[in-house]
Amino acid sequence: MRNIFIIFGVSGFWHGANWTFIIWGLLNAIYFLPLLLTKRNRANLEVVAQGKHLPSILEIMQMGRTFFLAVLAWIFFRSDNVSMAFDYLSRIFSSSLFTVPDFKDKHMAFITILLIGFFIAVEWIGRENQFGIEHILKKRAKFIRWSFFTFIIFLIGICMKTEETPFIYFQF
Amino acid sequence: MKLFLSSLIKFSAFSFVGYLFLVVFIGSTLPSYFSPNMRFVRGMYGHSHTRFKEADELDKVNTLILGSSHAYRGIDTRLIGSPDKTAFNLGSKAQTPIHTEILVQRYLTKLKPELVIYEIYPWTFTSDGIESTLDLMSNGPMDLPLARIALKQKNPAVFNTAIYALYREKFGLDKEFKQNISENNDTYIPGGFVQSSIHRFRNQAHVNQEWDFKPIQFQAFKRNMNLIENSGAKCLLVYSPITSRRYNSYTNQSIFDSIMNASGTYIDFNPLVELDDSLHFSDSHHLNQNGVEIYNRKLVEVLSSIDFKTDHTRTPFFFSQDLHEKNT
Repeated sequence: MRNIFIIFGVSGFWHGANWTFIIWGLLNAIYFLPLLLTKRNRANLEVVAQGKHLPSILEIMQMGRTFFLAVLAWIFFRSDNVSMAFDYLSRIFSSSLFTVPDFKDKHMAFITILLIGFFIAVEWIGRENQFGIEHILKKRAKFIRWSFFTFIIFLIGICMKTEETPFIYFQF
Repeated sequence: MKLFLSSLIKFSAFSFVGYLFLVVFIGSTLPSYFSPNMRFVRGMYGHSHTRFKEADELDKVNTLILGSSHAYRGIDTRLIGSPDKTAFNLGSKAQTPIHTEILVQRYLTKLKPELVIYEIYPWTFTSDGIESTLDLMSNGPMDLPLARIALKQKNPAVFNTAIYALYREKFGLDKEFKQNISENNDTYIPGGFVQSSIHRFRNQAHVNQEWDFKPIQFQAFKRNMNLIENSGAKCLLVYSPITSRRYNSYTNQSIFDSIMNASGTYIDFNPLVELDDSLHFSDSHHLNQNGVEIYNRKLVEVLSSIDFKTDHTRTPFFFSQDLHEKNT
């Protein structure tokens, strides 16, 4: 257990001399503890829902839990300092959690959700391979496979964030 | 290896054609919010489409006005020109010097002005020019100079818009397009000016800030000055009024002034015209029509009395060294 904390603590410190990185590392060590204490730390190495099209409810919940904990730790990783991270967390876990999100740009939110859904689907289908799209449509005609790859390139080109001087002239 | 290279070349060609097809297909069929990096808006704010069409039909003008929205919203051709001294405002949305160069190349020889009023808002020298490129692509022809800028800007929104604009142009899809003279709060006045309905600005404080100039814009500005000078036209560089709070917030304004003074006959109208930040502006840097009238009266007065600098009375300047020395 001591070694786990040392390894994850050092991993955090390796990213930078800031408490935020150390907390990020220690959080990951804490996440690891239940598996270590129950001696199941080598029990989840296989691909999720191997050979099946869809995950079970339990597997969906397990993936959701892992994602939630990882993202929670990344708040510390991404923040400038610890108080900023806690401020961020307090805003997330406030009463706003139970309100309908107020998107400034509803169309953009819709497109973003569509894109996230598409890329999750691609990753899910290709989860048994090193790269998500590695074997997708491999049995199909080359034209279909190449069309799919071209579509992905197009999605990146049409939706990627671009660096521009802020439009102070907007509407002018 | 040979097979890999062969597949790579074939796939590159395939995906290139496929990409073009998808841009055209999405642009033609789906609402614009499905393609955030494809910003083709024919007849957008600023009436560039109407202005360029009018410029295409003109033979000659006495005074040509260039610049950003500060030009086409700030210099009223009805006040600057007269029946025997015509004026045309070729300002366009966020026009930066690299875009002024395109318009100067397109129209200077055609319109043969005797005087060019070149509105130089410092912000345009800090901009990457994406906004203006998109405006010119959407509302004018996709010519070679514009295509060159698109390639230099290396921006996906510019590439995608260029593809779609070229498609519409080649298939003549906008031949019949005519923009409404009045849109939202703006009315296009023949001669290139855009008059906004009068509203006042609630003044706001500005923290001190610096202009972050881009050398590429000064290089284009220098070429523009050469083109204007070679055409035989006189040129007046003007800095149109912005709110005093905004104007005073820039701590390196003097660098810009000295470069402009060294480049030609330059007048900063901010200290010359008495304007109220609330009564004469519609936002922090655009005059409303009341402000335009006061500013333009002063501009006419200046034009009638000014001695233009000739080539030998100007101080030669080399932008990059000049700016570097003054910054350090």
